[in-house]
Amino acid sequence: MIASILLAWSITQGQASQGMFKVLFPAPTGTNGLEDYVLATDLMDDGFWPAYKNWAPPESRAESIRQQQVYQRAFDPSAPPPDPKFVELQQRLKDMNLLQLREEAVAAFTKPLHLITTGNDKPCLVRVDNGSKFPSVGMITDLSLLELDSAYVDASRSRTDAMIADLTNVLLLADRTCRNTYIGSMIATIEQQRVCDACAENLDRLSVQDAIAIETMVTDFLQATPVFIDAYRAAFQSEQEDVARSLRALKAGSQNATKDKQLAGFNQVMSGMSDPEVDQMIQRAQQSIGDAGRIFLSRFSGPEETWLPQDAPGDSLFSDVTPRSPDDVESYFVQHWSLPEVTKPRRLAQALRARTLMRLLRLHATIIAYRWQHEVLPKSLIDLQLPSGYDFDPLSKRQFVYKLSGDGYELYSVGSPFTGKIELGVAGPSTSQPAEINP
Amino acid sequence: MTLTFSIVALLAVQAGTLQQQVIPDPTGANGYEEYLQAADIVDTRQFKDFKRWEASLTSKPGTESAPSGLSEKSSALTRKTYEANTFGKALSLVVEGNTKPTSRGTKAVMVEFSPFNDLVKLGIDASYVAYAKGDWKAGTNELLALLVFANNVTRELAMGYVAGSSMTQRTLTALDEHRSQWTVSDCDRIVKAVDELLAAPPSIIAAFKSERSFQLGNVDAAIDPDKKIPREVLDEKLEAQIVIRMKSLTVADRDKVKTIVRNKIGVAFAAYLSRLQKPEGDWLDNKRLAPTDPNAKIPLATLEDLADAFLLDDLLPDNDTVIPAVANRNRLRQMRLNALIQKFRWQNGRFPTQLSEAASKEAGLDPLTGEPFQYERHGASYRVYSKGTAVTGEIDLSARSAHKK
Repeated sequence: MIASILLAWSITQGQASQGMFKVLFPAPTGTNGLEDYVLATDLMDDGFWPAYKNWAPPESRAESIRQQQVYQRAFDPSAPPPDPKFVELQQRLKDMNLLQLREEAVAAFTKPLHLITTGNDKPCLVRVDNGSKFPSVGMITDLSLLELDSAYVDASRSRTDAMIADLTNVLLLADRTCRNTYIGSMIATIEQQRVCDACAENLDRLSVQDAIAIETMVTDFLQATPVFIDAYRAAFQSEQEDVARSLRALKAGSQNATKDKQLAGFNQVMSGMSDPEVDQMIQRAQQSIGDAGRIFLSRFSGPEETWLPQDAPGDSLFSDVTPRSPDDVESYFVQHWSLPEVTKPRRLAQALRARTLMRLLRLHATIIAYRWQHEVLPKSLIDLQLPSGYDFDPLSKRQFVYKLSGDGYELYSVGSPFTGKIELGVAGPSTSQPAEINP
Repeated sequence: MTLTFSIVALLAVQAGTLQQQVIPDPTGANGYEEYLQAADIVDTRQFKDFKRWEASLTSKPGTESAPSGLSEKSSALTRKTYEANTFGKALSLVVEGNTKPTSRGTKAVMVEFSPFNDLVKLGIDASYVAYAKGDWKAGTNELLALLVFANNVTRELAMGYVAGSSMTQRTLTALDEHRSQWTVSDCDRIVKAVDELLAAPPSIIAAFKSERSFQLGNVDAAIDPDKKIPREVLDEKLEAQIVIRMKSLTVADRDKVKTIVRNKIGVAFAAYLSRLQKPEGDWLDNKRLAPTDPNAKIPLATLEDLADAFLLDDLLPDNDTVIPAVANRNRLRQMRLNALIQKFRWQNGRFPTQLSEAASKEAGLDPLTGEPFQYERHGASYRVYSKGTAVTGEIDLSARSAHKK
């Protein structure tokens, strides 16, 4: 079996490429989830994973291969010929269908899958090494992708209980790893949407017990502090550090000001300031950012339906995150940070949309359990005898809409001006892509 | 159906278990014995009371007493779980019967077909419980076992053919309702089961042959002027005419009537058995054949008229008789396509854009039309069906769109 070959290879390759784990954790504690995640990623860095990620379905395979060849020549014409084992592996993967491919990945990476589970049971202590933050976005998305593939394979084998455990792992992974940067929270939002999509694909396959498990999964998710709140907090703290770093750089004249006349002017002003004066300016700037952060974050201590006002300006900033300063230099910095972009209402709306999707998922699960019990769909959500709040969407500030339709039903949220109608399994606005964010 | 119903009516009052009545001398090598033992489990007061109570929940709530442990507030799943737990042994017997050759013989007493229908209800409900619990394999296995059972019943006489055809359609519909729950291995097992059912000699041929033997064997008993045979369909005027004419006949004339009846039965069956040797697409006359049932004229002037009166509503094969067999074989093919499509979906993460992506040319061919089966995408779902013929109308797996004439 290819799986056993890959496993053997992954172990030998893994041993060779366990450098990241060894570098980051020369004395592992066993109590930091990050250790498990990094080790899992090391084990996946074996040739199979890149080949796996480059796999394309037959209908677009020729184009995919052509593009890979073009890129390879364009970027690295002198690159040594690829490892024959890698070529052979790619050839084998090429002949597989999607399910076989996912089965191979899951079989080859049982250990990384196990490590995700063990990592999720521990706190994740972030590491910064040579300016890089760990876990990285790539690491999180690779681990999530592996879990989602495992969920697909489990569903194909009717192991929906295991599928739900896999999807819970994706949520927990995002919960543990994405609270420290705003870009991380964007990843978390995407992973939450992926979990909802995977469940939407499998709604008809859920048993009564599965429906209860999903209800529990979603309720746990909703009761936890949202990832994006901690991410906002981290972003404000990060900006306080950045503004100090930048102002000191200006003072030292090391800030590259050649392309920015205004910056060049500030450079000149600051070079004439004494160190205590610069320190005071940094303090004021940090205070200004901190105040803005506290005001902004205070919205999340209220009920969820107040987090995003319906009349919030769509592409502008929330008014409470635009710090002001009497000092031109300091004001320039506090207004030209990356936070304003992430504190746009439409950004917050994307995170809240994911929460609405999770609420919809919980309702779908409850409806499915009802259908199994009664062999008919509920006439209205009242028939479900839901716990308080289950049928309310804080984003739209309205009840979810439920309608019988033909042999099935429709369930959705009317959403907000930023999201439009929200339905499980239906793609949302493309603004959820993190690539638009300047970290 | 006169001969069949008449004999059944006369003999149905016999006492004893269904097995004792139908196969009084069991061999242990005949799966039909297990079927009858299974039928005996549902042919009990307990099951009938349960069924009556369940039916009363929608028609006349509160008029029947609930079985122990259940109440009017019990959910459908709770009721089905009770049913599966209480009577599930019957389904194990069906599965055991499926492993052996099956033959009911030509005992005239036909008391098992109604309980057989109850076994299908029980099996469908048990599969529902299995699916609800997430045991997809057990749910699918239950329904596949019912398909084999129904097909074996379809082979037995005209009554079995009628009952078995209905049982087959109900089972296929139930299986189709769970198609989104099939795993890849479920899909493989469904394809294998359908392949085996289609590869075996068509059950309608066995049914016609056994019914022909049965009817020929009962001509003497049926055409007896001294027996007052209750007839299900004949009107009183005709009934009276038959009695008067029969009493007026000499023994020789009576024998002539029997000979005419035998000949007509033989000719009618021979014509259709011959047609059933042709490719499946030629089984039906799409212009709709004239009814082969004789046209009785009153007064019954000739012996021929008298013979026709005897055969008036007997189950002689005609075009309509063949339709259930054709439709169910067509549905089996659709079931196979559904399994191939669901498997394709698992393997590729999408539905096929064309049927040929998921199924071979042979599997995709609809023998009724000589064209590929119809495959339509509807958003996140799809529909497979046969355009059918003028006689059958569209055929698909849904009970709602059963063949239209």
